[in-house]
Amino acid sequence: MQGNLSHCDSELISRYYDGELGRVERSQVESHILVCSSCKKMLEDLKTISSQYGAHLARQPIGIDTRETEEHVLDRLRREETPWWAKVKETFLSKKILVSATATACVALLLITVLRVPVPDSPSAIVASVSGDVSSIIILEIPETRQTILWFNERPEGQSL
Amino acid sequence: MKRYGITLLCAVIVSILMAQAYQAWSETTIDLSVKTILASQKPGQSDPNLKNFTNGMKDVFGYSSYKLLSRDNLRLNQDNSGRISLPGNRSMKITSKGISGDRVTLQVEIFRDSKQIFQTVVRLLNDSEVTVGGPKHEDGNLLINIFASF
Repeated sequence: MQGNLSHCDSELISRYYDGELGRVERSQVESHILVCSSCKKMLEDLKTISSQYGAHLARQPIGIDTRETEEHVLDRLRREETPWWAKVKETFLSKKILVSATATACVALLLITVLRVPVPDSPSAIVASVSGDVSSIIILEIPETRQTILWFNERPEGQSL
Repeated sequence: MKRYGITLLCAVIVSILMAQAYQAWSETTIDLSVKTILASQKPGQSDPNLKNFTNGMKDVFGYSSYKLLSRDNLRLNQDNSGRISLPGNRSMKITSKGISGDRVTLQVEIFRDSKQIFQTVVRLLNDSEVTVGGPKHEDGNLLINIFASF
């Protein structure tokens, strides 16, 4: 594709300006610009736009004020308190609480069991009342086994009170 | 970690609830084992199953033999009664009056020919026993041993 361009191509001119063309295409565009006032004008316009834009950027560096956004976000966070269920979840899922709860439960179960063990010194049986149609009643406790015995002598039949 | 924590927490809660439920249930239910024994002066072997029972008895009573006549098991809730038959047209009625502290209160009544001849109210520790004795039978006396657990 040696030689001049046969027609005006704005895209090719733009790519030429951006330095994106190869050696052959660049040579073709340069030859074309020498003879085509329209494309020469297009190239000059590109240069003008580019230089003006660059000058504008240099004069006014981008400065985004983030303070307002930051305050807005912080305000919103302050207003939106953590929901109660999230606090409960956070509380109960913490490792410290879990360990404490487990230890407390174990101690509670142990106490329930221990507190139910009878006091060794108390008698195994307490006789609250005794009565009957009997001639005598004896209450005794066997020392070795601490077993309580209620012994009564029946009245002979026909001799009730 | 969170899933493990939830599982552990649930297990602890369930264990506590089960312990509470079991305690509530067991506080109202008692198991009784009632042995009817014939103690006599008649020479003979004592029942080997009564070895623990007769250990202290021999020093207190002069009986030479102890024979297990029957064994009955009762499970009573509060204010429930159970009745067992005794030799000589007798019967025994046991009523649970509930558990208070570490003791169960039992009312024990003995009937002969449907007439009450003896009654007592005893408060027993868990896994302990009381023995009611005296009624004459054959050539000896009856001993009724009541073992309570709750």
